[in-house]
Amino acid sequence: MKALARSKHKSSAGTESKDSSTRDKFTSGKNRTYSDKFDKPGLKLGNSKLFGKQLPHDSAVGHVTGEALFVDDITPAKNELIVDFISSPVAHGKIKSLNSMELAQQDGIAGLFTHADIPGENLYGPVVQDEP
Amino acid sequence: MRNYLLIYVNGCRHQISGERCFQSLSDYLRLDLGLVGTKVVCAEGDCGSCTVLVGRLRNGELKFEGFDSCIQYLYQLDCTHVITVEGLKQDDQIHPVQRAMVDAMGSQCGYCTPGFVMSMAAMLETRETLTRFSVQDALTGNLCRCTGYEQIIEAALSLPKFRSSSTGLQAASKRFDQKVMVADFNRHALEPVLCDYLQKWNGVTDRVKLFVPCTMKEAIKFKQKHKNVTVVAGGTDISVQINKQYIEPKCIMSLTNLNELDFIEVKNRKVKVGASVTWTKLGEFCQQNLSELSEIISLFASRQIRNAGTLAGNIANASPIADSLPFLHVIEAEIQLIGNKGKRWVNINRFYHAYKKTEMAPDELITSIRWNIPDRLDILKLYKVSKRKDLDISTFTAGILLKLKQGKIKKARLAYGGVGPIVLRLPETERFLEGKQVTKSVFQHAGRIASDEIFPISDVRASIIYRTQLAENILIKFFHECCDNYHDKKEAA
Repeated sequence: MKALARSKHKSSAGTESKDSSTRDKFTSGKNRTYSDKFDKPGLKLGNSKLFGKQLPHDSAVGHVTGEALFVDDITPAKNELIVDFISSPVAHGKIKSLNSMELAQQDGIAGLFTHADIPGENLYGPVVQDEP
Repeated sequence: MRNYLLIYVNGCRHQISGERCFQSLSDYLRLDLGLVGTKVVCAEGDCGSCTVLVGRLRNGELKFEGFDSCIQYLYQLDCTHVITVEGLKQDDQIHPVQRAMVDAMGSQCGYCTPGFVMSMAAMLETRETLTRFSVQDALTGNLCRCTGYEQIIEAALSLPKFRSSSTGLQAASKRFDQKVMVADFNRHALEPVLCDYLQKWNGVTDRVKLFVPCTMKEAIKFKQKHKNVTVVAGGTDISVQINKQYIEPKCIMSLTNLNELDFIEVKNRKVKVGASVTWTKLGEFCQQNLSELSEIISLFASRQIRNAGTLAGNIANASPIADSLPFLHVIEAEIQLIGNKGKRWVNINRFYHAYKKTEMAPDELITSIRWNIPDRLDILKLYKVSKRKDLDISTFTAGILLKLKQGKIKKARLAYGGVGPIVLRLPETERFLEGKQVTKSVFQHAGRIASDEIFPISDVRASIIYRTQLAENILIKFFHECCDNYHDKKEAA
């Protein structure tokens, strides 16, 4: 469908007869589109309400108007709790010990959680489960 | 003196003062006004998700162009009308640009979509002809990683069909009553702005200051009084550095209202460009007069950046890979500085002392740049080498200007960027070329001399070896592109 629409657009600058010839090439020649392949008279898929037609994207109007809300669009509130990760300054190393007591006692820290706070299995991964 | 900035957003008047002046437009829209349709992704003017229309007073009416709102700080936008994606919709009717994007399946995840919509809306403002080429150029500053550009380009190309529809194909800015705003801006633009606030952080208190002058005199006076001032025009580099927390200016002077510097004059083949002239304006001018520079400008960043950035900013920022510098070096451009002691002209070849160190005194400002248009028979060629063709920072830049006489090189001027702490002229190579015949072996030899005259470093963009080889090869490329058929051409003539 789309290939057809494009060929039509391209030739709009040219003459009308040229337009129809390129379209014939599309439908009769080897450059048939995917939907043509199934659109045999016996199947009557061309009459289908859905087949070969573009269905509008549910959120499209929200996207183009900016009205669709993404997580980042939720306005930050005053005094909201911020949850963040603290990572090792060394990219490739072994964590031998964690000394988090001092940080946990500082002003404004609501809580501090480490691997020890997750009960049971605390690794995951799609194949090898080795990610914390 | 007023103590607030005046900005209209989607037709609503806003007076902004104190701490709130020191935030980016995208933050102001999203956090202060709750207009979250404008998205921020890269926060450095690359992705275009935050594109909005900004209307500035030009010749008595508002001229709208697309800008990256993440690197436009509010102090750069005094006396402007900002139109966001929320401003396109009218009476529950979505704008044809938005309808076209829906119809052509131009959105998938939808995060870049408002930016694309606004870039297309910007095309309608200038009534540009919609061709595949112009659409691609207009959307260079918008990145999409999932929908696919084909549908988006199709959407833009389908716009003319709305002309005959009930909604019509009206520019978004025409929906707002501009008369009131223009009168308001005219009243305000003649009054300088001074805003400040006390910044308290980690037990340290700083007074953060902002000044928006209306005349050169006020600007110079302020610059002389405040040694730590950061001067902002287009802000396409400074704002990125602020966003990425490399710098934190405590004193800012914004040149947005200095309209007296927005001019291009041509007199006796001498071009004089004012310091407020943006890349877009210079590009339009060069299309007729200096096609070689116009080509480099078309590769310079994206439309959103070219609408903001200025030639003078490119010079004052003093980056060794600034795209305009090789041209200005070979053309022997002169920079006008104005300060306490009056005006003076400095040749650009003597303007840079070291990396980011210039001839400018603390009280001086750039007012204009002038150069002679090259003769018709001179060969001028500019090169920009970067990983991507569009919207990329240069790895290497070069400017070559040859004056030929009877098949021999009468004068040669070469300047390379990205091969040293400043843009370098190549005196040895120039001396070698002068008086020589225009042949390939001469340029091969010249290339070897050139590669000995430079001091490249290895960095994220290229290695020393790559840059050295490039310095040599670019001259051979130049020979093939510009001089290869020189003798044939002359015989034919």
